[in-house]
Amino acid sequence: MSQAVTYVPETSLPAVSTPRRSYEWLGVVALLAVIGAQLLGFLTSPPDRDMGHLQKIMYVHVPSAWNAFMAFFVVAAASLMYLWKGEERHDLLAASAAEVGTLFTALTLALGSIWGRPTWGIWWTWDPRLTSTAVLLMIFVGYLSLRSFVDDHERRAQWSAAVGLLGALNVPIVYMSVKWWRTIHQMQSSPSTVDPEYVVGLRANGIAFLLVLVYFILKRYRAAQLERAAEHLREQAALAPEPRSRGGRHG
Amino acid sequence: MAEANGFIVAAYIVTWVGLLGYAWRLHGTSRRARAEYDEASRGTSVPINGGNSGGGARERVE
Amino acid sequence: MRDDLRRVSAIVWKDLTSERRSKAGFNAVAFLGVLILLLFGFALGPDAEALRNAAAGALWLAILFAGVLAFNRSYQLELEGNALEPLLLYPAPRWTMFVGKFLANLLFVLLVEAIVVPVAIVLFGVRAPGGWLPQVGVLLLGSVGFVALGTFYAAMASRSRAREVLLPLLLFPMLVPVLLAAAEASSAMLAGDPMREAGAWIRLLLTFDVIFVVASVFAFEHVIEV
Repeated sequence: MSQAVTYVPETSLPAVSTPRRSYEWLGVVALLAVIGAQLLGFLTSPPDRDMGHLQKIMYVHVPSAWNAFMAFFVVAAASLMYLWKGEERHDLLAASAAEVGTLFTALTLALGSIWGRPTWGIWWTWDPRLTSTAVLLMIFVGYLSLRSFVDDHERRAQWSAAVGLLGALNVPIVYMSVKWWRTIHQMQSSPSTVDPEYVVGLRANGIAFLLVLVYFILKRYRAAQLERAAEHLREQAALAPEPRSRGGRHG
Repeated sequence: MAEANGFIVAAYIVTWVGLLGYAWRLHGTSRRARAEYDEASRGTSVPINGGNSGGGARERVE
Repeated sequence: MRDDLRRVSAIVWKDLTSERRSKAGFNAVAFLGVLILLLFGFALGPDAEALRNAAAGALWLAILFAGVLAFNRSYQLELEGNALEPLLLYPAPRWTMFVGKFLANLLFVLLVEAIVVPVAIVLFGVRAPGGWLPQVGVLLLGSVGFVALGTFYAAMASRSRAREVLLPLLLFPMLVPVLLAAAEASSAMLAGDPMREAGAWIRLLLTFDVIFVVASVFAFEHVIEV
């Protein structure tokens, strides 16, 4: 097909046109940013007085955590938009953000464990942030499972939006509960302050990871839109009334 | 200290494997979605009965 | 308002009477709760002190695992009889349907607890220095939060594939705050509340109940229609 053709499905979906608008440039930029930020982190930060070089794990663990919660925020916002406006694309955005968010949440937990083991000798600690992150992972997984077990599109979108919003409500509540829980049992809190010498590396990695997040979500969202548009087209072809003759297109 | 270095390396390997692994999966998903869409729109735009398209996508040629 | 209350009680009555016709359902769930307590006993070991410390937690888990079985069933009866659509066509505010099911489920869960709790007291050697009434209060408050969220998520899980696993998967992460507060309040009181923390946990539990009941009522409207 040499011409650029715009297919306009008879639905509320926006037209998807070829040649494609590609996000790959963003992917390349994100990749370079991550490499650059990690090099920056390694080269500019001296060993921490307590943790030594283990501090460098913070450069991947903390940005992953930020990404996980940002993705979740997107899920909540998109869910709210869907319940308010009813436009399918918000549902697709929420689902895309959920998938990417699951990745970063799992990554955060794994890196948290890897950092915790040599630092404190334990693979897990019931501190508020790690525990809330674990609950967040469960909520993401539940969200995605619900979507996979529901076939009807409108039902899936409505239900996902409700589940997403309730999940968003729950995460800060869990955080506060666990914080209270630990205070009651007089556990000391994990080191939360980041020394100023590490801020530059942390910010650089934070920005780089954010670019990765945006790239992943946009690309996933685009794929979701294409899948949905394809379904629309198939449905309408299947439900087609008797063929209408068209001028200008004769075999 | 060497033991700690092992953990640092592990952390970065896990990170890269995770990010690149998902990027690869996303690449596959994206390609399949594009193929599905092309297939579906081809199916409704190609004239079947000598000039009639089944109802569905309106087509504009630019 | 009077009409709404009448609708609520109609739904409660309907749910409970269909439950009563299948009394086997209640017996099975209550017995499962007891069984879970037994398994906890075996898993935790025979040390009396350890069991006593774990009693509140084990009890709540037994209630949760047994209770989830009840929630899907509360929609099962409508689904099998294709009664959900006619019910929805009836021009009643949706919250009446939620409250009706919530109350029916709450009653069911409380009755199950009436059996499971005494067994826990016996099996885990529980002694209550602060009296039993506060414990009952915590049980009631915890159950309210549990049942509200359970009734809400079951409205979806019961109508999708893999309902048995989907309900716990969706529900349990949401129960963390309620579970934490209830178990902590109970444990503290069973230990004589040395640090005067039980009151704080109970207030927290009450707050959670309000938040989650309100959220469930609002969200229910969206999920029951589709």
